[in-house]
Formats: sequence, structure tokens, C-alpha cells
Amino acid sequence: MSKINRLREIFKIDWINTIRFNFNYFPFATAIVFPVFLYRTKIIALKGSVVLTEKARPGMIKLGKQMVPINQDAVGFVYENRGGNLYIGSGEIGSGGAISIQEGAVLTIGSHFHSTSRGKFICAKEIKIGNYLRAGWESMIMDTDWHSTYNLETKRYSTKSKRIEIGDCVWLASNVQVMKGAKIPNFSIVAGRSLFNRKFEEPYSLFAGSPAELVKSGLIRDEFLPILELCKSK
Amino acid sequence: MLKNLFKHFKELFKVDWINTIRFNFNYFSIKEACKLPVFLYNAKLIAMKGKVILTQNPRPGMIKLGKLMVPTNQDSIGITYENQGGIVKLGRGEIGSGSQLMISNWANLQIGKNFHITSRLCLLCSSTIKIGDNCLGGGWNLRISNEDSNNILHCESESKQPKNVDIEIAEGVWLTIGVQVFGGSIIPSYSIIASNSVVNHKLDVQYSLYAGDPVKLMKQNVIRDDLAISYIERNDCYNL
Repeated sequence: MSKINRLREIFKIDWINTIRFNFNYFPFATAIVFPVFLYRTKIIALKGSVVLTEKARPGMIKLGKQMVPINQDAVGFVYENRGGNLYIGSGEIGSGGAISIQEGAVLTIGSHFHSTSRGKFICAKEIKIGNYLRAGWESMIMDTDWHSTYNLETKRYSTKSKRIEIGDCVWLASNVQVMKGAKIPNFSIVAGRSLFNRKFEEPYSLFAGSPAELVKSGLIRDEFLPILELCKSK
Repeated sequence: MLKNLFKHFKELFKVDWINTIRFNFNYFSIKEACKLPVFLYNAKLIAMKGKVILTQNPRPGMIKLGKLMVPTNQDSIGITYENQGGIVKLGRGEIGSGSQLMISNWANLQIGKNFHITSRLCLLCSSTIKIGDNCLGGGWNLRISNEDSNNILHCESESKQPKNVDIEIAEGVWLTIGVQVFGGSIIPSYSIIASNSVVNHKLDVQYSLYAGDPVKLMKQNVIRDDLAISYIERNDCYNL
């Protein structure tokens, strides 16, 4: 039964865009392995570069895959790269998601990332995401406001975009927005519908609210416990 | 040059011509309607009662409703329009894809010129909503509504007068992602509402930044960058 399911999966892949993507970005020996699978993708721009941080495996990166069965209305994936660099490990981004990289921007996503549905990664300057990211529905990571503001007293423009840093083993719940200048420490949890736009240093903690504040400390997501023990034993 | 022409030509194919013709000839006199001032993209027209009045000279495509403007929001499609008998006054501008406009009977909706709302606007109008010129509702998932607050009867409050549910948004206001504006709120000119905040009362100070749920004053004397140039020019004139 699992073999049939796996065969069915292959038919869902958008092969035209998958071939376009892989042979555009990787050398022939890597591209023939098809490390990136795309599902119903709309490609807006295919500039810049994509660098794999792990050894290439077939389908190690799945973009736009339907993972949440009740979100059937979230369809496809949008890829836009206007000349930035994307460093990416293995992982999945669900249906309705988007990656948008502006010119000269650097987006780094660690290995084993997992964003279920409608996750958006919009990068205009620099976003650095650690390993084992877990992002819920409609979570959005955006390092720019698209416009700056002008201060009438000091007569200066504010900075439009600031660097975002997200640590290892971070769990973003549904509807979380990570805005410019944010820093999320390792092993932390951001509660649903919160807006994260500040810098925090304390690991193993829960953040909630708009803007997010530290609510509880000393807790991690259940599936990260073996990773934490591995880290401590080293 | 050729590429630009081709781009404009491609845009024409995306317009929903049947509904565009239906909308224009329903609301305007034949002389105005022939110019097709309103373009609709992927529209669903539920009710076309009431009136639509243009505040500027009609030009082809001066108002674009339901146009896809944010490339990453491909899943938001078209515009839903329902007018049960209200009066709509519109200037020149655009409303992005995935939007809903619902205007109930006896309602009054006024939007000034050069409005620009990118994606997924939900506008429910049951009494009066006034939006000024150059309103840059830049964000996605906006909700401007006085529908729900209208239905609450004031049983327990001592003053039996119904609450004022009119919304007034002055000129040059920037509403960012996920802002919700509810009945009774007045937003002064050139103010910025930060993302995911809720406006439900009168705000006083112009040229300032508001944030939170409900909104509070955060910063004064700030203005959006593309409005700053005109502000500086105007102020220099006063200084001279």
C-alpha cells in the first residue's frame, strides 16, 4: 500500500517546473538527482543562486506539497528570486507557501525545516534560520516593511529592512508574524497569533502576544527532547 | 518600449470583460460607460443596486478592482461585489485580488482619489465609511467593517442612545498587514497603523504611529517615505 502511495506522490509533482528549477540552479551531476521537488508552482523569477548545504538526495526539498488535508484551498507554491542567494538544507514547505528573495538578499534555512501550510518567507536583506524549524499555518517571516518612515523632528529616514535571526529547534505556531529586527533564541516556542519583532536571548522559553513577550521559561516542544539530550551528551 | 506595449496588451486579457461591461452600463450613463472607467478582474457580482458616483473625470481603467498586485498571494483571486442599495463615491485607484466589498441598504461609502489596497481587503459597510485621498492601505488582510457593531442593542448600558458606528479615515493613512478597523473609529491624517492591530475608537494625533490591540500611540512625528517628499516641499514653502 505504501508503494502505491509513493507512486501516486510522483504524479502530483509539477515536473516541468521541477526540471526548470533544478537544471537552472545546479550543475548537471546534482540536477539529475532532482534534489528539489515542486508541486503546482508559479515561478515568477529564477535569478540568483541556490546552494544546498547537504548532500543532494532525490526530493530532499519539497516545496508546495499538500500536507494538511483540511487546508485543501491552499494550493501551490510561489517562487520568486530576483537575484539573491538561498542556502537551504533538507525539508518541506507546505501548499500555499511562498519564497520571495529580493536582489542582493541572503536567505539561509537550516536542515530538517518543516512549514506545514501557507508559510511565507520574504527576504529583502538577510534572514538566518537554524535547523529543525517548525512553522504552523499562515506563519510569515518577513525582514522588511517595504517602505521606511520619515521622522519630522530629526529629519531622518528609518531603515527599511533589518536582519532576522532564528535559532535551532524553534516552533512557530499558527498565524505568527516575525518582523524585521527579530531574534528568536534556540529551543523556543512562539504562541499563535503573536507578532515577534524584538530581540530575546533566553533559550527554552515561550513567547506570546502582540508584540511578543516572554511568558514562560524552561519548556521545549516534545519532539525536540531527543535532540536536546544529544546536544547535552556532546 | 515593445516589451512595455506587450505587457499592457497582456493585461487586457486578464480583465473580466463580461462583468466589466455589466457593471459600467448598470451604474453610469451611456456616455460615461462607453469609456469603461471601472475594470473588474475575476469578479463575482452578487447585487448591483444603489449608486456608484465617480468623483473624477472618467478615463478607461481608472478604477481597477480585483487586480493581482502581490505576486506571492497567488491564491487570492478576484473580487466579490455586493451592493444592496448604498451610495458609493469613488476616485481613481486600485483594490487588489481576493477582496470583498459589501455595502448594505442606505449605506454611504466614500473613497478618495489615489487609493491603493494591495490584497484581501474585506470592507463591510452598513452606515458611513469615509476614506480620504492618497489612502495607502498597503497591507494584506485588511478588514474595515461597521457591520457587526451595528447589530448590538444597548440593553444594559445606561444611555440608550445607539453608538456612533461611522468610520472616518483621513488622507494619507497607511494601514499595514492585518489591520482591523471597526465602527466608531476615526483615524487622523498621515498616521501609520502597525501590523495586526485593531482600531475601535477615535485617535487624535496626526503624523504618528499607532500599534496594539486596541491601538495606542507609540511614536509621534513620523510619516511614510513616499509621502515625505511632498510634505517637505509643502513645509519649505511655508518657511519661505
